[in-house]
Amino acid sequence: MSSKGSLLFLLHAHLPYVNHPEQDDFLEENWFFEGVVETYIPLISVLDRLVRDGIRPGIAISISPTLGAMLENEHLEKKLNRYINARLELIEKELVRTESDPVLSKTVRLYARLYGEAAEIIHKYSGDLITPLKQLQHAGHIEIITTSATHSILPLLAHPEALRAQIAASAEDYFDRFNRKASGFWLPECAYDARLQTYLKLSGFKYIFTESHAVNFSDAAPKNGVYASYRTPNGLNLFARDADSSKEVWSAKFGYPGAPAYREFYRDLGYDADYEYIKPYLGADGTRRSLGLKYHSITGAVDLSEKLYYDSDEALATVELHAADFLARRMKQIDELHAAKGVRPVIVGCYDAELFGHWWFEGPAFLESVIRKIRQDRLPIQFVTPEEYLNSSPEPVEINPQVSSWGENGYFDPWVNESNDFIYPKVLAVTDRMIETANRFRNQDLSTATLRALNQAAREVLLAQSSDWPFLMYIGSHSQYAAGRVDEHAANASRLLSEVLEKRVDEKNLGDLEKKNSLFPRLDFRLFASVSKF
Amino acid sequence: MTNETAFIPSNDKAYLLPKNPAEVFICWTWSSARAEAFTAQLFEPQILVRLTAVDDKALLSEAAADWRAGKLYMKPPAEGRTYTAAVYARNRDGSQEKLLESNAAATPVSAPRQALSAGYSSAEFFRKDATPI
Repeated sequence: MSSKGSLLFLLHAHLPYVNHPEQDDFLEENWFFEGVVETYIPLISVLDRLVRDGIRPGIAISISPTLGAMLENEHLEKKLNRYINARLELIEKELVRTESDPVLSKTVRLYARLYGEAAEIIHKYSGDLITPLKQLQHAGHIEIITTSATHSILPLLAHPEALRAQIAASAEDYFDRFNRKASGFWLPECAYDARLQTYLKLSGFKYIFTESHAVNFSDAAPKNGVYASYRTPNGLNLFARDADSSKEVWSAKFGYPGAPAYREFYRDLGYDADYEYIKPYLGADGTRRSLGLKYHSITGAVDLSEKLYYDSDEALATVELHAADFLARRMKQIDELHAAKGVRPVIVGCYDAELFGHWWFEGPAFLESVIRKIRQDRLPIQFVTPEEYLNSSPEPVEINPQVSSWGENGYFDPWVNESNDFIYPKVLAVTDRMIETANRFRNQDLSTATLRALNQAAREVLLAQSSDWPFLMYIGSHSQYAAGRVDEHAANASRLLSEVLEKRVDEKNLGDLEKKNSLFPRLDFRLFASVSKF
Repeated sequence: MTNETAFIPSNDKAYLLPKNPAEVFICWTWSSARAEAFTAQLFEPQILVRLTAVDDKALLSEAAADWRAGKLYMKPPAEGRTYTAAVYARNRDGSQEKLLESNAAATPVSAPRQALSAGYSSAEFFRKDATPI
């Protein structure tokens, strides 16, 4: 059946770069382990199952360079294996403990499958989870794009040199990781200003995603709203997020993830179980923490202590209802748009990948069900990847998008406010120093140690610019760690630049930093120079 | 309005960041030499931060701050324009010296509240608190 319209799904997978080889157990590294087990591997499994059944997923995935680097980091891989083995050991004990409770043991078996599958897939790909994604892209089943080097909010980078460095480093990183040039660029937090166009084009990107008001309140006020792609004056294509489809999937309050049958995120065995029983699975400091084993459902508006046990069958039945509802709404949307505007609309749904599985446990099953139902129910709608859409769509209308983001209130408030603004003088000043030093040394013949120090300083500056640090401070989660990371990277960069200027590079310290902050192996400090090699 | 003198180049820095249509963030750092000048009362401690539209110098707003504050939020005179911020201090002669000038930054325009699909972003989902939904 020919389609009346298209669905374009973009899952943005990103975690801040957290790598602490100097410590055996580091709390914030758990973000990565949880992300792998609960989101990235379940999503790979969903995609593999669909392909095996002859269904082309046709979605786009953005993998941030920081996440990509962590997925390839052998040190983190070892810790990940240890994390999974510890969970499997605990699950074995839980299977025995809950043997006489059929409801509870059913959920424990579910976790046994989840962690067992994670161990299998990691073994199958020798710990390299980029490989299956690369294979899926190579076969044309999905499209993988990238984002800025360390997920910085680009409109908050005061220096054009920093913009160029963040964008150009990500293009190189993508090429090295996926053996091809990247076409698509996910603007971190959909944050856009007009300066970005130049540097995105210079690095060879063809399209970006923006928030809906970037398009709806642009100078051209386009009649097709967010249901078509557009083009900026310098020829960069853009898609805008559709609010309706995002809200249904995204919102815990109004959307599907808040359904009573779904798994409750905040009730966790790490807080419920007898302390001595779970102590071996806590961190070195022995503080209770989430262990990822969550046995309760959202239930409804009740206290956490009153949550009912989770029933996976009931949750999966709800997934089916929600997938059908989601598609019925999209069909209605498409019919209405077709009738009103006479176009074949594209509905762009952009979501953080970690919503699927980590936060919304049933999210991967929802995604699978939505994709399968289009085939099963012969719906006149199809999933398209951005490149496919651009190759088959009419000539886009040219617009000047508005400055915007998808953050709270639609602009930059979450990243610039009283809780986090103290970082900017440090981040911007060290960026200034990096640019000045790059300008001074860009045309010089450099010793190996000097070159390494300058390249490492560039890595540290990029890491200081990450959006994750101010965001964590804003939400009041791991604020001290986030502030410490800004200080650490700014100090590292500053020290390295001073050592270069004073011709006394401490190679021991440099080696340690290269080992710890080891992303962007090909990074060239000259990306920060005011007149670049481009 | 203040009396301007020539821009004094230095390693001191000022930066301007957009926040939302109604607010920009300005922060500044002083070199030790400049900080010493303030401490020695070569300048009055109260500085003046002036926000000026790049394409229309008549569009401006001003605010006072202590030289040590290091930051300031200001309301731009109009939305959707590109601005720079300049920091002035009154010297012993009583005239305002322009000590710092920031980068240029574009500010957004307000979209009607109902048109903002944002708020269903990661900020909301990740802020879901531990109380029942």
